[in-house]
Amino acid sequence: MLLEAQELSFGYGSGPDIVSGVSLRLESGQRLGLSADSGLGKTTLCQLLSGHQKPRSGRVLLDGKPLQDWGAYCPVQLLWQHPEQAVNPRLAMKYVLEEGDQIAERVICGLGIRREWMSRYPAELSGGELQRFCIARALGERTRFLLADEMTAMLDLVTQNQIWSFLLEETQRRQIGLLVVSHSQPLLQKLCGDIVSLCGKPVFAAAGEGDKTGESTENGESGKTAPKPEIQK
Amino acid sequence: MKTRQRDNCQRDNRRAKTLAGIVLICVLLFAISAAGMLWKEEALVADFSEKNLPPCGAHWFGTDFMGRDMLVRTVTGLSLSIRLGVLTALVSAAFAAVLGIGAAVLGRAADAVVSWLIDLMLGIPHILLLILISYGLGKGFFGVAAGIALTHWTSLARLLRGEVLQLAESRFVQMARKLGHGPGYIARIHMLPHLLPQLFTGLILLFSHAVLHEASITFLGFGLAPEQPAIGIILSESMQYLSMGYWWLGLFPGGLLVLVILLFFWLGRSVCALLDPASAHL
Repeated sequence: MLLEAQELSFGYGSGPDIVSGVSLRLESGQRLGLSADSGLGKTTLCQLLSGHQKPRSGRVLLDGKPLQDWGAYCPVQLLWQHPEQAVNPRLAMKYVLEEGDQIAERVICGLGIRREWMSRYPAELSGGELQRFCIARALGERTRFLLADEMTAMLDLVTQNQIWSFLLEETQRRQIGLLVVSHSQPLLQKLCGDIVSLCGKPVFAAAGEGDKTGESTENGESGKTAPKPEIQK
Repeated sequence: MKTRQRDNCQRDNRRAKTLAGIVLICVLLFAISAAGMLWKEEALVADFSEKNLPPCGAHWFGTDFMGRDMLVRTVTGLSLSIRLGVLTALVSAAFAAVLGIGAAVLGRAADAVVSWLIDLMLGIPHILLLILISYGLGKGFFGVAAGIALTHWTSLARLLRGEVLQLAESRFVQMARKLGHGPGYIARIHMLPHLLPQLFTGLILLFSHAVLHEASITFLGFGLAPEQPAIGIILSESMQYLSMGYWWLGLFPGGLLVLVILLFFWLGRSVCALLDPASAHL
């Protein structure tokens, strides 16, 4: 399968473009790294790719078919940086897992999720423990692509290692395409075959310079200030 | 391992105690309300040979200027207040739930209409609107009930609207949508556990409001008929006699009214303690 982003542009409300003219290709079983400075739209790009936000222009295609035409269950799942926002604070963890699409026992064991965590509420687990649940929930049977948005940024090295080695094995086994977003170059180099980086100035930093934003929003050439992807091998 | 078992034991014990408390409070409130309905006739019996008696063995709460037994009158009045309070609080909360949630999910136009209605209702002084509706509908039980039910839903509706709007935008609801779940599932699994405690708290606050407003408009003469033994009427009558030293006319009915409101408050708090994750495992 092929996940394809064609000339995606997006901005919040009537503000300037955060993501502008970004194209990207991710194949099944491929591991692609994405790095960029803060504020260049990494998270926004992930939200566009997984259908959480609709682009202003451009398309997200999965095997040539628009992402929203793939049915209610989205084959492209996003893992948020902050797991505590991605789970309902009033649901016990076993119900959080039930939200997913038939999670295999192998996944639950592989992520080191313990039985006794199942009856707890999110506030009674640590960030790393919660993130494991989020990963398990996103690894339902119909998931084909996984976007990891700085997923392990706040975890200690031992936990990071444990989670990533499981995830590499699992994605390899099921030929899941993986987009790894991170600030850590060593992590990306270790995990991914290709690394893409968004470059350019942060849109909101540029907004302070006045003349540039006026220019970019009026004549539509916002690509000058908004980040563009650049492949480096 | 031992300590964990002891913890579990303690936890189950506390949950059981809270549950027992809820049952006890419900039984108590139901008993007061039932006793009042049985004593409906006795509450009106006047005996001028026994008027203005202080509390004694035969009349625990004393008697009033017409020789009516104050215990019977107080319980009957409370019974009326509880029934009125429960009825109006339920109707009001239902209004609030329908309008508040409707405003949040039915789109911009519905939101504008409901928000305008809420602003309008909140802009008019509460008691004026209450008197107007109650008077317009012919006073009595129906007038008071309609007046209170129609004026008390606004702040709860606004609260629920905000809560639903916030939940709909939250990451975990977005995730649920991407995991293939429809609006029914999201409403049941994600919204309801957040809305129910708000609704419960709102309902209980509404109850005490309803009882106090019933008492106040009756006190002002726009509520229940003067012969009905309502708490508001008992208290307004007692005002005239307090300066003459008949303290029992105000103390016992007032005290019991406070007790009933406290019972509702405890009921609400216990229910919330059982439902809230922050305390569900303590």
